[in-house]
Amino acid sequence: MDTENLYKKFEQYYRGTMAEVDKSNFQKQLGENIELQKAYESFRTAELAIELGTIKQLKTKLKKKEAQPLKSRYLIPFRIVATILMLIFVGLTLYKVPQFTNDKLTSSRIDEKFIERERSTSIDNNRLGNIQNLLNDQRYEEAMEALQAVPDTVNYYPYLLNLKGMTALKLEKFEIAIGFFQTLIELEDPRFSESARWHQAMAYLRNGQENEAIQTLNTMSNDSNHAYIEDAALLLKDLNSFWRWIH
Amino acid sequence: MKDEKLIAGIKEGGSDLEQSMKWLYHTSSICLEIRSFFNKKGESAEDTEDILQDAICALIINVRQDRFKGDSSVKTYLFAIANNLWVNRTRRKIKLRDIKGNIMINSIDYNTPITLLLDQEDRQQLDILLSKLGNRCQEILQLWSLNYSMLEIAQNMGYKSAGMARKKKHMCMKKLVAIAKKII
Repeated sequence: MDTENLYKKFEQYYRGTMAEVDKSNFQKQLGENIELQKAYESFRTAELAIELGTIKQLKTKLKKKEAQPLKSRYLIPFRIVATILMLIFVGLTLYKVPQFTNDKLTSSRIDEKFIERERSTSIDNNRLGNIQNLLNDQRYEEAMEALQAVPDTVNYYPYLLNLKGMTALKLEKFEIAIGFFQTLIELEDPRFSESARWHQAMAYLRNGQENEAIQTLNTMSNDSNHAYIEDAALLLKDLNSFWRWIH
Repeated sequence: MKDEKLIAGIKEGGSDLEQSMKWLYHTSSICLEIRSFFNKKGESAEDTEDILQDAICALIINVRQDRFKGDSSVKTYLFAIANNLWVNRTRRKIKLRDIKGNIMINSIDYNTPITLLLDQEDRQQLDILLSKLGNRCQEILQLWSLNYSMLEIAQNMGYKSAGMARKKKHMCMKKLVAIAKKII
């Protein structure tokens, strides 16, 4: 009998899967044949060794699972906490991020009282009075048309530029507003140059020109006498906010 | 998990087997009851876990080798194996000997693998024997002992065919038997 078939028989006998008739025959053979008996003993020892190895492997896997319940004991509350924190973060993000858009950052910082404040200084009451009424009624397009009709040679030209710049801001024509404010800054009129720089920064931001806005704000915050020094510093802080980074 | 699903998972092998083991050992009320049973008998937690792990391994081997016929519930079967192991351990502690001075092993039945009934010294000898075989051979023979088919063994081991797996298995077995012959 070749080894493979012999081992097959040994295996059947060892595992108890041999038919009863064959089993008693085989037992008889084992009793009569010492060589066969020795061969079977060797085989049986080998089978025991394999079985032991298998059990060790299974126990290793079982013990690995044993370590997991300890982790899973903390995993569930950890997952709950993590979910809650995530929800809080998402909620905060949804709430905070819109507040740090360029629109939001600038809308409350534009000097809404620019018309009223300068009213008393105007000397061309007829023409400007009409323009100021249009602005008060928020008829910005018409106001801009009227402003454009005023010649640049008037002696209240800085005031005119300021009105034009602010009206352009209102009309969301930011590039035009930037131009007006730039001209006003270059005039170095102490009544308007600081406000012009501030509103130019607003226009830059609304126009998506963040680098230019930051540059302008830095110039203002480095000038200790600037009227808008604190506003510039605050706005710079908001521009560097974590919530803008997420946006 | 019902008995049928548990047994099916063990018979399926692979990840299903591991899932069934995991559920049985960590989640099932069966093991909780067995732990409670042995704790009441005064067994330490460590020894109880050892008995339980051995019993589960025995169950897996018996299911894989078709010795578990499903005549009783898994709970009853597992309890019986665990109890048998516990009795054997207790006797081993007392070192019962028969008239000829041979150490008695509790009634050998095909439900409890003999290796689980052997004492530490005998186990160590078998350990040494198996360690003389290479890792690949050990792996093939252990898969065979768990009744995986030659095709499954071939897939696991990366052999081209079931025929190749059969040849390798026989070669490894021959090698191990030859080593065992020298020891006996």
